Amino acid sequence: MVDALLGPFMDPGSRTFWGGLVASAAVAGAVWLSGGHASPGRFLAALRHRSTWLDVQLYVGRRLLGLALAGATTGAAFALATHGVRRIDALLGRPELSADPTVIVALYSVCLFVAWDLSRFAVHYAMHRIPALWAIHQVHHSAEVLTPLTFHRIHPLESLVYQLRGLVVTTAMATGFFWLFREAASPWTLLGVHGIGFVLNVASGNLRHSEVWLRFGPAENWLISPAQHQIHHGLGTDDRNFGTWLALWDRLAGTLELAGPEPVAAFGIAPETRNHGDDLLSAWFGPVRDMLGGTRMHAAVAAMLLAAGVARAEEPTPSDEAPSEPATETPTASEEIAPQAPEADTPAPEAAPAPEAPAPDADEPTPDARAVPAPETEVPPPASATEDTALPPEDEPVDDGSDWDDWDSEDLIVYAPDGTPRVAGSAHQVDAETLETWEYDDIEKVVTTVPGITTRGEDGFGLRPNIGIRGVNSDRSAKITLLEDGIPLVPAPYAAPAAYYFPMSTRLVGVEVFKGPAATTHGPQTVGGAINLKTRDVPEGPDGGLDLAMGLRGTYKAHAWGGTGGKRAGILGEVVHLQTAGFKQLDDGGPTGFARTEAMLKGFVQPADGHRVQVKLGFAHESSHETYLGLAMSDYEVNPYRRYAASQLGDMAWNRTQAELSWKADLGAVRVHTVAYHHWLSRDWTKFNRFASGIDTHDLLQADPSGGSAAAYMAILRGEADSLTPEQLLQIGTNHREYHAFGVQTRGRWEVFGEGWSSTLRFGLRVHGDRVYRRHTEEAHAMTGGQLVHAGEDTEVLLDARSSADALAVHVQEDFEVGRLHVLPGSRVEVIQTEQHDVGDSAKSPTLRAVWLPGVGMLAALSDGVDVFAGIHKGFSPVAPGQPAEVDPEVSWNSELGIRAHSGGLHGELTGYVNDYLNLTGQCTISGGCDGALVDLQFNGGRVLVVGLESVVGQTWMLPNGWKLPVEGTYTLTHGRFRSDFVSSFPQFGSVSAGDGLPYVPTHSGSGRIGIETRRLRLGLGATARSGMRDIADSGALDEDDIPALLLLDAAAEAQVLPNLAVYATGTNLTQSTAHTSWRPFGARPTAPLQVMVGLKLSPATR
Amino acid sequence: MDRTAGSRLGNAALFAGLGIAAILQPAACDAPGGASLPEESIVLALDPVGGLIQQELEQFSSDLGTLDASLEAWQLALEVGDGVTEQQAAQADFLVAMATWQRLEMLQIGPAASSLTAVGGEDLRDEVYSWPDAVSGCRVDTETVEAVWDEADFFTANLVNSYGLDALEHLLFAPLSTECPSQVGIDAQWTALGDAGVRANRADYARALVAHSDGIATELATRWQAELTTALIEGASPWASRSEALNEVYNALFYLDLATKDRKLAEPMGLRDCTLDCTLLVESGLSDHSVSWIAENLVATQAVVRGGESDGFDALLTELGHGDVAVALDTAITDAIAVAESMEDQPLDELITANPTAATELYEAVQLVTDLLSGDFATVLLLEIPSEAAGDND
Repeated sequence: MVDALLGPFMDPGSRTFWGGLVASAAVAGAVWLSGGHASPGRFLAALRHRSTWLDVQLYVGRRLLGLALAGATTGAAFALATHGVRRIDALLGRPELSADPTVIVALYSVCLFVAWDLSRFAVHYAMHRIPALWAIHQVHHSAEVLTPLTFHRIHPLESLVYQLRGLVVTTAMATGFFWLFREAASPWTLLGVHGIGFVLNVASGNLRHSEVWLRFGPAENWLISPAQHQIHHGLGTDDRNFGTWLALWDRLAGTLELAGPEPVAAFGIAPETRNHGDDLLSAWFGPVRDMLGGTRMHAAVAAMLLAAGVARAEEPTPSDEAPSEPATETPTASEEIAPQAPEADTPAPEAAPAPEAPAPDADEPTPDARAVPAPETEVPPPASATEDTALPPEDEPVDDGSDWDDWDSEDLIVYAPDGTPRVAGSAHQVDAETLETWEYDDIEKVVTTVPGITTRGEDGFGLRPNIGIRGVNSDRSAKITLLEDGIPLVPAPYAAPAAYYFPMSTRLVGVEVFKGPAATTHGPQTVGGAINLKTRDVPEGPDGGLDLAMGLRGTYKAHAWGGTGGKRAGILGEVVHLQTAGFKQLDDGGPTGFARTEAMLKGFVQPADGHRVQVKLGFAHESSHETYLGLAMSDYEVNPYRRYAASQLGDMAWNRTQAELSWKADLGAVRVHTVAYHHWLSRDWTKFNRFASGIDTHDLLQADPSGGSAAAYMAILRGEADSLTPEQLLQIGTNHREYHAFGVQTRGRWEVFGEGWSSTLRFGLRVHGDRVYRRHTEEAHAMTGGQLVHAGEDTEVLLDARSSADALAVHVQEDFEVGRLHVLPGSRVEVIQTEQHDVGDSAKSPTLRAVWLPGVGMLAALSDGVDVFAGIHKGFSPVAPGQPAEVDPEVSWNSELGIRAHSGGLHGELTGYVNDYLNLTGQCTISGGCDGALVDLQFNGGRVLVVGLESVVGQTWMLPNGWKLPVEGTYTLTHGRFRSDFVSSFPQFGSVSAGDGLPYVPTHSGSGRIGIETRRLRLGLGATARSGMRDIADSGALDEDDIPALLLLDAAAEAQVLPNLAVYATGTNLTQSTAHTSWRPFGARPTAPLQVMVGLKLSPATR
Repeated sequence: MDRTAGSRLGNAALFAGLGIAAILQPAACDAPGGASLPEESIVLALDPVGGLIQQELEQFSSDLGTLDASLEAWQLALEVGDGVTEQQAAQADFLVAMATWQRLEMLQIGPAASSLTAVGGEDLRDEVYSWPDAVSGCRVDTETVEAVWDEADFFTANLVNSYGLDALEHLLFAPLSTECPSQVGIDAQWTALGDAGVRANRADYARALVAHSDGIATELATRWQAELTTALIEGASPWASRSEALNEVYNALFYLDLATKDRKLAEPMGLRDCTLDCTLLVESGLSDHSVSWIAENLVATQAVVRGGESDGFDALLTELGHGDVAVALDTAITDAIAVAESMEDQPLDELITANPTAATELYEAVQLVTDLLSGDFATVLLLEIPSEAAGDND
């Protein structure tokens, strides 16, 4: 990446090559010393100018885009050239002229130089004459000071235009020359063209964008001088001197102006015509919005899409001034795939015809010579491309004795050589291929393909998923351990385990699910299980990808990643953006969608064999117009996607940072992975909380009253009636929370092998701290004419408190293997100190709890690929800070028995389990339907017994001609019952009688997937289904106050249309089910409607 | 073992595992039941409730009959004059009917109660009196000028903020000017009506409201007589058991805590968060009978607790060996009634402003009752405190 960022300064073909900069500085010095208009002071002042800062931003932004799309245009150029030569051959035959290479060089150089200069003049002239093009070109002209960096001040769309121009001209020229001269026009021959641009660059190229007033005198009638180009940048004089090098074109067009003795007084454009600000996003999106005259969203997406296409043009055009860099510096795909294609009756030059001819007037960078076609006899198939070029020999991983993948903590499931997971308990993985195929943007859709997992839908996007495992409450996924690359990911896993942050599923490369004893090594929540989300690793060798997609209702996704790694170091950058206009319709027409962006940077160094130090940095931001308010059933039946007027102020915004420093040490028999981590998240969620009267909104919407004062409340929610009394004011709450989670975690394993036996001791230590600040406020609003109007009362502070949790967790698990039998005793100890106090209250009374969680598992290999396993362990879910003394931790004894088979294309697992809760707890969240006074409080649920059966069976059939037919199905039976009578303020419990069923846990659930695949095409059809669920603990038949059964059908298709380009489409909820998925927080919440996404994935053809 | 044999064994094991797991088919889990009161004892508390409700409803209908006659007289008087005397008579009859209804406020059980919180609740109480949720003088004024109360769907098409006893109070006691701000747009119609027209419309409107309230009261009385009284005692539908029925009666008594103590007293007294002129929140802002209505709430509470000669909550408590709790509660209620009656001639807002000590005395007297209701009373009778009141620690 560093190379990529600094490339234009290191590349002799680039105008801003350091050598050229030095030469320009020397010329500038000479001008200064001779008394001309130039001074170091002005130059330094220009560098500090805000305008230059935007130059830098645009440069860096374009370079990063360029990384993401490395190689993306190669295929296109390659195909063009191949077809070009073949077509001409077919039409005109093969002339095979012979000529002296020197003549070819001279002829090609001159022709390309002139063609490039003319085409750049033409495009540049059009940029100033066509309003839509001027909208983007003015980014370059809005520079108020000129420095060599201004050369990079280019809008990505402009780069695209010039890239296309360059591609056309260069391809035409190169194709013509190769057709005419074949082997005689070998790439090295064409190196000569680089010379013209190089000389011109060194001479004066960098002074075109400077305040050094260098004139050419009468020669300005033939060659454009730096001073003439500065006139072009002058305020109000941008209608002249469009040329890059030759003045001929301006003379013909009547736009040539010679430079006078006085320099330009001011640069830039009239402020009132400027369509962008001084920041990168404004400079990217403002012009597009201006050009399209559309919405910000359309502009943003258009910019993203087009910028991606431009990425390869980001090499600031050597073209601008110089014919470009030598194509041989970076081998093309064609070189590597068929370097010497002997049969090629069309030439197969090793290097692309590197063209890059003179670039225009500075304005734009030019395409990279590497993008230029290199005629080839065959378009390489993707597979061979991948094999051959993804890992150039010099970048191939070197066996350093550390088999990282074998024990990597990010890969928590260990697999036997035959592919069978070797885990003490039930474990499943959703692999990268599945994630890639289905391209789900909703994590709930990903995990529901795993048996034993249940979800409670809320917003339809899975922004804040509610996931439960084996009967544990699904509220905000707080009762399961959530990990990202083995590290707890929720904002405060001990003090406030609600998962207000969840990585976007589209950037995950694997999802691992652990249940039963397998969960004991991943605390602190060990009752139900753990989910580990795997992010992308630093690639071995240069690699990258770009995924652009769009869908119904203004849904756009852009996902780019790139990086490279070798034996000693590597780096990876990844950015994802997802936004949608939303599928709900607010009564007042307001927004209901969201936008989320996540970025991750990983880098590692391997200072010595067996030791790797890695840094992982992350940033995420979300802005969503989300609400807790659902619908009454009478309205739901009319339009399930309606949102009441009372939800119009719903707005969630959060930012998260993530910093992790890890060290992996392979010490032979002992391997240790230590990670120091810090996660910070700050969020504000503004939404309708309640009526001032305190009427229960959940009950109100479920009762759907048509009379009485309750009907008046309903009318107010709908905006159909005004708030007339203080009781009818709507309390709009803003819950501000700030979380810090930090700690050090070490995991390792120690292997000892004996005669006929082996011992693997897995151990772990985590020292963890959580700090949570909560400030919950409410402001009364009146519903007036369908709009929420502030009632003028003071803001009420409901909560202003800090809480903390400090934890020490230790686990050990022995895997003793004798023959086909593994015995896995394990133990986990959690020592947790929690505390909560109001801000300003110095009195602190920490609570210390310690728990020992033993467990044992057994695994027996009945035969190759068939294991039976059994285990029992004690599950635990800690008590959060600030809970009443009577609240007990959730504790259970969990046992399971299962069989797992993996043979050829068949795999299956069948597990029966019993979770015997000594105390099941519920935690009040507003999302769970609690009112403000109870939020975050935990409630004992007493004894509960959950019995279940989980199964998964899959088979992949290999068909003729490389076709595959994978099929997989899962089924889960969950039978959970309370075993005692009690009354709870936790609304999902309420008044419980022994025998009542658990809320939001379906008895039956399952999924099915069937696909058909070849190397170039993947088609899949999937279904998930579950039976109805209770809204509240109860017995008897489900009724209208419960949640109906749900069946969803999804489909996905992906086609590899080019070696580096795949197009795909996904469809979710194909049957357009409108069944509601929850009555929580308040009212019926719909399943997301039919969504169709289409997209393309670009990757280096070499993958 | 060769690979084929291993595969066969694997498949066999797979099916064996299926069989093993099938053994884990869930079975219903028996669980110990919770403690409960003897059914025959509960009857002691439930027995008098239905009769009390019927009696009050019949009284209320009778009161409304009297009020309707007064309103008719007012209508006739308005044809020939300003009808001031007849209006005052109607006001007096309204206060009588309202006093009865204030006792019924304590008896929101079954269909009268909220459909959101009560077993068998149908919100019928709101049809008669929806305070404090939905009263609106402007809405009543708007309907006064539109004069469509005789339309068949008036009471279904409109929200309760335009009818009921609270609207009736407005019609009888409000000044002749409109409460609506100008943007509501009825000023011209109001002016066109003139004082005489407003009075005439109010009288007509008032009779329509009385008729509607009487219809609701009659319906309730009929249902209590036909089925609910017996169902309550037997713990039959809509109640699932006598225990649930008992709890519903207890929840109804919590009106004294949530409405009487908190809404009628604490909020106007500024004891709760209140950034406005808190005294505007008194219940009877127009007829100035807030305190006497509080007294009626207490009277009804005592009636439920005392029951008849040999039943009632006091008898239940005595049978359970907690006669002291019954005595303490009855004493507290008696004392609170005495305090309320000693100051019922004074408007509550004036009392709060001019004599805050007296207002506090009244509040504390009521609070003593509610503390007992949510304390020993609930503990002994294994009652569930309504969730709305569970966190109340003022």
